[in-house]
Amino acid sequence: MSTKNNIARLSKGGRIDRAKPLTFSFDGKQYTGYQGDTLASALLANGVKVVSRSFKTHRPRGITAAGPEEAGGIVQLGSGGYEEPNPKATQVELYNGLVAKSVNCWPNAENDLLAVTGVMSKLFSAGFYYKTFMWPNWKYFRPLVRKMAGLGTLPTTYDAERYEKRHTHCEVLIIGGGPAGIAAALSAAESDARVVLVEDQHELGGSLLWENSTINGKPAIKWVSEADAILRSKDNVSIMTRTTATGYYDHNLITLSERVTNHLIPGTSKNQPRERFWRVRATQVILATGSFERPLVFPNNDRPGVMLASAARHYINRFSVQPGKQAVVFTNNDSAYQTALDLKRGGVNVMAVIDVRADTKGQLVEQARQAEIEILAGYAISNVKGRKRIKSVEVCPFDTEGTGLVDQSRTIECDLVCVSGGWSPTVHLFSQSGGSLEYDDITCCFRPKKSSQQEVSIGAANGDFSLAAALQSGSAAGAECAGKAGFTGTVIAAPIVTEPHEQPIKATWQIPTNLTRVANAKRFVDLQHDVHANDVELAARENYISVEHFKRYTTTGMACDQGKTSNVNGLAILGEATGRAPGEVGTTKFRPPYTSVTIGNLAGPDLNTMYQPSQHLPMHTWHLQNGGQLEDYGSWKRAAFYRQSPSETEEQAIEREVLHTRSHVSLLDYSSLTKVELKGQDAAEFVNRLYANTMKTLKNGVCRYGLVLNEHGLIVDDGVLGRLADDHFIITTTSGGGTQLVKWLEKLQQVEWPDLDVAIAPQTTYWATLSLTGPKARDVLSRLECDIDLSGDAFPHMSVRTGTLEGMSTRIFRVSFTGELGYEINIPVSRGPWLWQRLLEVGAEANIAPLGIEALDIMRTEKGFLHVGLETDSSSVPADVGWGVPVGRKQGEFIGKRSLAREEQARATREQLVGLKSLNDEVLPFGAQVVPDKRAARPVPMEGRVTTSYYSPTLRKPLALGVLADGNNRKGEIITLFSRDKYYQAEVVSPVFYDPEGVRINA
Amino acid sequence: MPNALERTSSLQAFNNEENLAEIQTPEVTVKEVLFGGKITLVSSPKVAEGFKIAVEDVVGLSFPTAGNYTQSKDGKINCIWLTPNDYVITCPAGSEETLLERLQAAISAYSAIAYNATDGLQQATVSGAKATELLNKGCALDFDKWEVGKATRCKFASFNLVIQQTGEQEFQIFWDASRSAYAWEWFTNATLEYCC
Repeated sequence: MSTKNNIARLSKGGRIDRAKPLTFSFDGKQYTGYQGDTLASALLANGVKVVSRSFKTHRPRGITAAGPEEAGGIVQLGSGGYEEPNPKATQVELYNGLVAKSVNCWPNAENDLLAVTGVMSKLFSAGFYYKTFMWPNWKYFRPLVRKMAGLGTLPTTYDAERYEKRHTHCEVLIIGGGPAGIAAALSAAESDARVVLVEDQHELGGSLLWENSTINGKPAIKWVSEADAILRSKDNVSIMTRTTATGYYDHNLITLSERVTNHLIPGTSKNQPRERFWRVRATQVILATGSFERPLVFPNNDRPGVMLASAARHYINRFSVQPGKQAVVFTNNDSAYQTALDLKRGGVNVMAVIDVRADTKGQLVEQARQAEIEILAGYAISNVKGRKRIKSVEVCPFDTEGTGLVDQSRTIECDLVCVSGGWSPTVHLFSQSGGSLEYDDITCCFRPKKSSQQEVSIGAANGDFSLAAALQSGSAAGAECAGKAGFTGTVIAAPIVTEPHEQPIKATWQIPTNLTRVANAKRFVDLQHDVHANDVELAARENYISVEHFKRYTTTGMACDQGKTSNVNGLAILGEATGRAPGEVGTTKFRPPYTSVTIGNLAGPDLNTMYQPSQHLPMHTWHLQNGGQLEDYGSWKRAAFYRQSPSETEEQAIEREVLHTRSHVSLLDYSSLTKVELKGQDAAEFVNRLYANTMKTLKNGVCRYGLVLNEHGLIVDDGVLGRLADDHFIITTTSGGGTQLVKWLEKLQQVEWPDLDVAIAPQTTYWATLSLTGPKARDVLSRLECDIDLSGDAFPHMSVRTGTLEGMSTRIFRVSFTGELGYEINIPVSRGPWLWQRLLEVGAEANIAPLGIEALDIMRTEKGFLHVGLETDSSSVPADVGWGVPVGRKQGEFIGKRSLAREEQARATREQLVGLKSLNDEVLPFGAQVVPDKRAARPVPMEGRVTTSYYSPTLRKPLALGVLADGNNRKGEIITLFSRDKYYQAEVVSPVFYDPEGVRINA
Repeated sequence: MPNALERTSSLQAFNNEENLAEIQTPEVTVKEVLFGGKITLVSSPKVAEGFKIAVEDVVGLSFPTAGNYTQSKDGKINCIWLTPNDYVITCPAGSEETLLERLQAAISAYSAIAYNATDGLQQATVSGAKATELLNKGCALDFDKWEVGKATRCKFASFNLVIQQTGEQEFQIFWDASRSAYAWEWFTNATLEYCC
């Protein structure tokens, strides 16, 4: 262990557990920290200054903040299945064995050879990639730029952790467990309302954890502990720590990201999720999200050692870490004086407070003077010296007008610069909720103006930065929101606090740039995306003056810190460049997530087999155990084919199944077939309006094939309708289109035809459907005990019977999609496996075999049966598929009828269904386009296409179906087809290749 | 007629020694209800007067008087309201076929359909201290505002579920049997954190 461990740690104090030392590594070096540390505080405690390299120019970057606003301390965490790119070191709780490395550098952040790109930094101005790499083509530069720029790297293995999702409800949701949030919770908790208090950190307290405040005359943290105990004793209060509110949506829906085990050693939390994604629906929301400190923009303000003044207080007070040995504080407001005082108390040599305000006064200034801290009023930092570590700063006084610096520089040696440019309320969630913002000239910040949901912002989140205001507004809001939610709220009197009175802030964004000797120094606005003030000014010159355009052109605020410290400075500098006040420029729209959320958190458990749930057939297990090669057909897992031996190829298996069905008998699990029952005195009228062909005349016990159209007369589905009784029908339709059809039926019933008296009951998965098909189908079915007369005369093709089969109630359709004699046997779904096995047993003598979907599709193609979605597309009408006459003859209304009368739908030269016979025994490619001939001038007109194409095992030749312009009148014509640089020739024939007389199907 | 052993539950692949699918943790249990009797009753929105009386005479209980509620008879027969025209009637395992025959006869003159949902609607019981917590992993219902007898059909995770509250921390859940593999994998994963 290095003797340098914890060289910057104070010997006492801080909210760390010194009894629990933790070992961790960064860039391959071992360090120690303590329980309660963040990775950032532990790195600073160990003297690590350079943590990463900047996005474009690989400038060294250190820790700049202490929370989610961190712009520099981006790391790569963990390895293997536990690797995470781009967490902020300020948000990573330290655990034993933590492994982190720097990002965007090689070999490490301290010695980065890629920093050579810095010499090209002038190329990387705003919009450089739009301008610089135009010739010959951006794509040639992209790989190199991507390799050299960017932050963390994607893990190469699957995430080994679990993630979960959950919903919850409450009447009062309080986001932020700082003083305002706690005070609100205490008041709301007095009612019976369900109160949820959400805190990003692992403990309540917020700013009280690092501000050294007093409440009721005692350390504020004691008040926090007492409040925490009170709240945890209430049954109606839930406290969620390590939880970040990431999004605020309509109807007070808030999303949370809970870090359940991130703070523990990866892989050791048995069965516990790493993170949990929450959706909270709250009656009232209280936003107590606090505020972020802004930096100031001055030359070389990105050097490691420049950090927010509040961050320095964090490290010295909460973690007992000296972020530097010699500090300079640079400010435009009073709050940074607290930093100077706290650092001084923590043993840091505070060299000076540089205050841009000329007339510094007030309690805090006086305290600083009493602490013998030099105050340079009316001064600014004109440059920062040092590359990987700060060596000194140059300070200059403002001129008498306060608009420029006088070149009378003074050098102050230091290794830490604490900066405060004022405070910005954390309005991200408020803005996401739809609330409007306004610019406050007094506090120099954007603050909530008007809520658009049942929400209230309190404390610093509302621009009231004092502790007293936070506590008072919290107490009032808690009671008020409970009351609005219908409960009796009680205002718990806010505790007494004594705070120094603060002097007004001076609006300062960028330090004047009139000194020519530092004119070329970088003045960073957005540290994470390497955007500096010159970029903002360039954007203004190029007329990107809308704040949304400016953001995208310069990429300000687009990195994983989402501009928490850069956006306001950026828009204010844009305002200065265009002669507008910040309020006139306005802010960009805040969008979720508030801070980085892991993809795992968003995905939750919905991965792999749980990503898109599949439906299983009743005989699923049998298919798996008997060579069934299951594939996805819509949401269903169905057997594409059955492999009889390991050496059998897919083509061989499919050909075998086709030939077997044609000569013997096959059994197909057809349970996915959509089945809808309709009953009622208007059921006949309903189905007659539904289908394009006549259904009203259907006799009881008879089935009829039909086409379903939409209002435009376009084919949306097809299927078989069976009539069980005068008022009773069964619709069967495609497996894939069933869900849409049922929705369509429900819409028709509820919206279009509420006057029709009909009950509609979708029953697809209540029945197992076993399709027995082949010339021996009747022979096999007859071997079962059945009270239905199966003879051809009594039970002809296209009829339906109900009865009992082996003692079970059954519905049997005599229909076929193969062109052979066929029965679709429907029985209660749980009996399916038994009947399947039984049919295989009694059919053994007839050599029965299972049949897969691919062979079925070949057989329906041989027979010329339509497959909606293949032979039709979203422009097909009945006449295109040979149904013009029956539909045209239909009397009465049906959906799509009026549209079919339009000239275009009746045009004779539309693409029509045809059969295609390949002339050179080649299987025509799916999708091959029909073209006039090989020498047709471009653009070549497309006359049609191949919709289905197979080699027919039955006919021993290739065959295809297609659509062809004026196809009905082109039978016998030789056409040319083109696909993938190759021409084919085919003869236009009838689409029915097999048994055109229907002898076999009617057997 | 095939006996019950010849019926195959959609959860058979997950069976324990007792031929039941069950996920048991100290805080929550999900247990298959094997072939619990279920009949789905669907009527036309314009179904004639007399339909409800015909049903009530057979089932022996009145329809739920409020939406999303259950009407029960001795806890054995329950009529669960799903929509104004859509109900699930649950009954003891094995009694559904007789009840269905009688029901179908009683409603034959009406624009209504009754069919056996015992096999197609997979049923399980969710119980234990974390029952509502478990259910809230899949759906957005506010179970704090539920009471025994409340029921609804809702989107749950990536499938549809009928949830009926039958005890303080006890729920009957029903889903399309073809989704059982997904449903059981989902519940197995969701209960994992209660296993330690």
